[in-house]
Amino acid sequence: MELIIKNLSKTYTNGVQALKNLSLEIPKGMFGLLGPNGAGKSTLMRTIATLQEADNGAIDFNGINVLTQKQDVRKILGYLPQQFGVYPKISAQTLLDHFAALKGISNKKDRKEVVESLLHKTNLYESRSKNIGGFSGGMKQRFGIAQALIGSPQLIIVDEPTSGLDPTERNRFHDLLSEIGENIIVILSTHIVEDVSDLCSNMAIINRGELKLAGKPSQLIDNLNGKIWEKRIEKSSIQDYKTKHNVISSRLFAGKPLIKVLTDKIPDSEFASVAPNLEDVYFSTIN
Amino acid sequence: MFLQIFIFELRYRLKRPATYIYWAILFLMAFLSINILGGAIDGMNINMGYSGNVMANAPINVYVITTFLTIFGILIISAIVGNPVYRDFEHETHGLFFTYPITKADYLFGRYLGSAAICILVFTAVSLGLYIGSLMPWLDPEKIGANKFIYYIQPFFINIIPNILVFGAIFFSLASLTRKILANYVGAVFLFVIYGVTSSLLLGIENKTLAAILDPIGMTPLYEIIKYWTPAEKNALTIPLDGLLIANRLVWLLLGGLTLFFTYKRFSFGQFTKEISLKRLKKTVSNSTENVQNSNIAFYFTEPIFNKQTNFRNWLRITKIEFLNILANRYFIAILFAGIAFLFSTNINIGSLYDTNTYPVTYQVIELLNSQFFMFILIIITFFTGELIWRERGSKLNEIFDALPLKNSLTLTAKFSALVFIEFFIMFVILLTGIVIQINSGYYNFELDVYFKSLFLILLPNYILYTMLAFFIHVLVNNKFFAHAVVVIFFLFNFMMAPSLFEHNLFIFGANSSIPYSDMNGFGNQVFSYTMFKLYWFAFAIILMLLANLFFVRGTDTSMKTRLAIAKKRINKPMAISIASALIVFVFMGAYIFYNTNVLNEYTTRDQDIEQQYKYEINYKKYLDKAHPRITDVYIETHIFPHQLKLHLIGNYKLKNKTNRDIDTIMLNINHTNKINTLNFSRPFDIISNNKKDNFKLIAFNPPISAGDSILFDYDMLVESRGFSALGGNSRILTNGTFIDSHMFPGFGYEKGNEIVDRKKRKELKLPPTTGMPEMNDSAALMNNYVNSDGDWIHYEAIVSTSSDQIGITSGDLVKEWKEGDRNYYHYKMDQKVLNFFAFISAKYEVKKDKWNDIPVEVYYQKGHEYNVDYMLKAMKMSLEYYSKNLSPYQFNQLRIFEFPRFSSFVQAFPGMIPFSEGFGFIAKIDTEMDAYNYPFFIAAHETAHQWWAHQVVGAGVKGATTTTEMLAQYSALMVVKQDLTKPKMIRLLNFFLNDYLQGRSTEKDKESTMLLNENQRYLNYDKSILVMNTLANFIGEDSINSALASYIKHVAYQEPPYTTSAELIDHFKQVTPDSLLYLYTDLFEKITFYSNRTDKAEYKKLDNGKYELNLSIEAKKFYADSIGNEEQTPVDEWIDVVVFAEDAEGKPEEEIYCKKHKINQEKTHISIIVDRKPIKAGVDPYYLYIDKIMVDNVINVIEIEE
Repeated sequence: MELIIKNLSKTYTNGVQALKNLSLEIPKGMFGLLGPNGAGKSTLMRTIATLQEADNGAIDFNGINVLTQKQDVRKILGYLPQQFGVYPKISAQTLLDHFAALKGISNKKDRKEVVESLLHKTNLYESRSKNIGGFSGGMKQRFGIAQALIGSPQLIIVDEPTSGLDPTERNRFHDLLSEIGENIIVILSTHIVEDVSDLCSNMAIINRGELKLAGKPSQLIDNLNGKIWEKRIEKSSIQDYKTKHNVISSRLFAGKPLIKVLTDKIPDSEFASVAPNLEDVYFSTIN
Repeated sequence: MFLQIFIFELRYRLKRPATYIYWAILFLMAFLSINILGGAIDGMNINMGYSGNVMANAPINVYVITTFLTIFGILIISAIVGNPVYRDFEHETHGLFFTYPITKADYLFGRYLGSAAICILVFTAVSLGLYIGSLMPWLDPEKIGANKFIYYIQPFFINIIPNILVFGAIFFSLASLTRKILANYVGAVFLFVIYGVTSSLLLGIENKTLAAILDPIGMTPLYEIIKYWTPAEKNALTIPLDGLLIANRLVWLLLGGLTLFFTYKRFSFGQFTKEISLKRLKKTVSNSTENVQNSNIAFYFTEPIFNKQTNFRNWLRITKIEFLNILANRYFIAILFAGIAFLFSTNINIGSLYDTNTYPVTYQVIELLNSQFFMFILIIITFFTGELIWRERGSKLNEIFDALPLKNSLTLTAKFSALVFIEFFIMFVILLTGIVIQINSGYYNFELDVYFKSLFLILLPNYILYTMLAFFIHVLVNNKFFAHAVVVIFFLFNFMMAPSLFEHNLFIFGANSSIPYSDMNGFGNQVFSYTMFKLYWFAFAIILMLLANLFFVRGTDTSMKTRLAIAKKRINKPMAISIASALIVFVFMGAYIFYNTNVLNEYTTRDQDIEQQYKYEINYKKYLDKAHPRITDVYIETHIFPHQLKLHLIGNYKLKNKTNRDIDTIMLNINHTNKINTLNFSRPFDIISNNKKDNFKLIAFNPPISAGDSILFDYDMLVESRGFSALGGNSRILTNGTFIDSHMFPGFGYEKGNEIVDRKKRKELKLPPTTGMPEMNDSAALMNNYVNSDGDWIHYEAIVSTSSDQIGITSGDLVKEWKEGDRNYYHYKMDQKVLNFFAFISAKYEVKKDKWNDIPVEVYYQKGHEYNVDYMLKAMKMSLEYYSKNLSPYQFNQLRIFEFPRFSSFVQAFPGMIPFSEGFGFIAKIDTEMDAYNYPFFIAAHETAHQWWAHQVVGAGVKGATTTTEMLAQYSALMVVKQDLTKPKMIRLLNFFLNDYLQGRSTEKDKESTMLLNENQRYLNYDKSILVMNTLANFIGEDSINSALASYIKHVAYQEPPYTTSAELIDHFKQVTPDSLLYLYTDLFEKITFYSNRTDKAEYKKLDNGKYELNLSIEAKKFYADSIGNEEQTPVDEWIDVVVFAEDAEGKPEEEIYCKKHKINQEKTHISIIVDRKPIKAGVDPYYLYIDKIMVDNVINVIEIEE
């Protein structure tokens, strides 16, 4: 089982080139697609989810041509879009039941079982008969993943599911995602590095419509071993450092900038070597 | 702060392109209206609700168009003034806004007045459009009168500004308080409804004032004010600020003010924001109740199954959900209820004719319901198509929904079907409403089959077609609001413009040739053509739906380029086959319809008709005065094949040259669609030209027919319906109720009736203006009677045959009746001479028989239509009695009424035989308590009178002809009807005719004639005739009039040419009139005379002797009007009734205690009268002897004064 994306390009009518000749192979398991806002993640997600046309290229999923055999893709697809609303005044249970039926679970009893198990799984069972319109952001996202899981999909796409969630909800959501079977492909697009480091066995970083990096998170982190240096500096000298060194990130720590530099050798003695993390991979790739 | 907000609103609106688009639309509509009225667009005109010779830019026109455009403008007002507060909410800027230091009043009134001001600016387009439109050089100068600014300014201030302020206040409040823009749509619908209700209330006599005040637009009081205006007045007068108009404006301004005040009270910034957060709080489900992750529960997986069953179930599921969604939609409910409310408020006027309703027979109820519901259903279709298409995108659920494994066609057809089921549902609602209306009126013959066929087989398919179109537009346009506009514009175009632009139903979306229903003939012969047209349009609409499927938006990429690319990809084999088959059916049906309408039948456009008429007049007018032989004997065999829609006509005529010259050629008129088997004259003849298209042949005789000589003429021809025609077939030859008259048979000479009558068209084509009827001294014209110029008094004999289930009828005594094969034969013969004016009828009938002095008096009617049969019989008997006693003996051996289908709505008197339309009295619901005018009774008496006034005495075809027939028939009928009427009822009857006369003359297109020179104007024939003769009878006495009429008959009955005239009739009247009253004939017959009589003051004091002294101040004015209604005052010098009423036994002020004619010869007169009893009311001319536009002030309440 593999999702193979080849030379995918997409330019919007307003001239924005969202995907540039992008090729990517996505294996079984949880796959993290990391990139800043506007990198083309959603375009890629939507294209895989049959909601968007590509200008060039091909996407193959187990022999299904995703770009032309849309109906076949939809039968095995679970999709949680970046943003979604619901019909007004409808309960979680009713809407899930509705989706389940539309996803081909015609048998009423089966459907009931499916819906209830999903409600339990997503911890929405207590609120199942409440109006979804009144759900909190986290509950709504859990509902979103519940609907995506209907009908044993083989390909699940979740587009920026954790943005806007508070840490507790995000953890909860991570737990939920981690439960999803290992035997299917789950693509998680996000701009939050922890999402990937917590969950994904494989990942890719895209920026400005291009693939920057792909691989296993651990390997990618290992590649930076011994190359990340950290130093607290004065605010006024930050520009100076940026011109002299390969600064990949800077953040404030107790009011003073703490910068990280990517280099093989120690830049100067005041720098301290730190263990790399995924964030360093990310920043070193996109900056 | 108010000023800033006000200015902000102005600036905001001035920056929006929509503001300019609204302005442009209004300008264009106004500009176009005045251009159409000014004759700039050929063949198009606007129904202004009044007619007559009115200039395009007459003040009344400007006023009405301006006002009308505010009805249309409701949408614009709602968009501009309804929007501002809602806008802050929609864009969620309210949070920002409401934190500024502004007061509620500043905010609300600033926004309201700012947007209202913009709206007023936008509406200047109306006045400007009208004014600039009226200056266009291409307008017909005859249709443009003086242009005064006041014409344009007045309606702007009286109607536009108040309407904007009031409607604006309503929309502003609705949107601000509900924060739903949809509330505005419903508000708009309700305003339309109120307007519709008030304008239909205006039809009834009683509620006029109320209706005029309640009309939100201000149109109804206007019509009430101008209803008697003559063309001259319409062209010259600006609208007076009449009490009604002012009351209406004040009532609505007050309502607008109250609405705003209410909004001001209810609205609060806090609530405005708080309410939203409250909602959140209420609906937010707290997380705390949740347990920790249930990781021990396993996912329950089921393999989805995708097969046909799944598809069908899902289709059903979406259909059901969408159906229930609409059903529960409160706006749907509101619109539906508005429709029903509208109905119940108007159902009082079912089939109203002469202020009398008909029984609510099913077809009438359906026609009423559909005409009232039509607009509401279109609104529902337009609106909910948008809702359905945008449901997922509206709830931002589209990305999830679009990724579901559903075929586009499934989603599209399911949503479409939901709306179709809604339409089914509405049809059921209409059905139930109809039944409730029927029960309400005590009518229990529900005719469910008629309901079913009309609603579900005839009306519903149209709505489904419109729905398909709306779906197509919404999918293609892919912008909800723009698509709404496109759909509305398309509907307007299709219903208003397309019929006059394209004419042929093949080019008018969803159209079909008419399919009227008649109780006698059912849907008759139109079912087939209806079905063919619907197949044609459904094939077309299916193509639209298939295209909609190709362009159906799925996913997030909605640029047109991508959609085109996707559409291309979606064309697969089944799709291509579907489109191709629909296309084949469409083309095939189109060809088949065309073959029927244009090949089997003749199809001509309006322009072609005009051209044909033009050529006819240009080429053949020279034959106008050509002498032709007169028919003296008619023998006809009319074989009617009602089930084959076929006639076989055989005729043997005897023709006589009554001139004193030889006749060598004749112009023989035969309809060119008749198939002629044989055509023969008893004299060698040549057909020298066969002008088939012009429906005549020129026939030359050799030797010519010499003066006084006679020849025989016989023919044998077939009249067949072939296929179906564009307009809806031959409404004369029917499966049940065939009714044909002399027009179906050959005739002679140039037909003046074929000429173009439209004055403008004639001018354009450089034809001389029509001269109207010939003058009374036109000696050639005096040689023809106005009924028929092919013969004078003839011998008549006929055989009628028809199918075995029907009877065949014509005039004459039935001398033999037999069966041959499966057909019925009837042989009729007239034992005396009659006019060359006959008819044939074939139908299944119920018969009610009666006798008057051994003469059978019978009514032949459709089963179920027995309601007024007894009235008709009674009227015929009373009439025969009165007329034969007072005028002359009845000349025939029978008098019979025959009902015929309602495809034509008239009653006509043939010798001894009166065809009476189904739609004209048979189902009238007469309440003898309420209705003074029992029109089935009155008309039966009138038609019976025609057996004298037409069939004994007939006038020459010159001015005044119908005065000798219609006026005398009305007089005779009045004398019969009067026998049963009390004085108050008589007053109401006269009031009806007065009102009808005044309204009739106000719609005169050409010129009003005097009674003496009457040119067959309806309002002279039937209305003024009654008033004039009532006055005459009052002055010189019924008996004197009758003796004059008897002597007139003795002089002129059955006369050979030259025929009598109205002048001769007046001479007979004058012989029984004292010299002192001879002046009456000038005022009644030779001039158009009006009076303005009123009682200004009526006071009494009790005298010591127990009597009462009554003092009256009377004003009397007299006017002569010219033919277009310019009035000139003339000194009054008349005998006028002065009447005093006291309480009668029932306590009503109706008992006359004093009635005397006083000579009144000054404008102001004081009269002092002593009466015995206490006077209640008093005044002048209560009995309608003088034509007075305002009768209510003639008699007033009397006031007691103390010493």
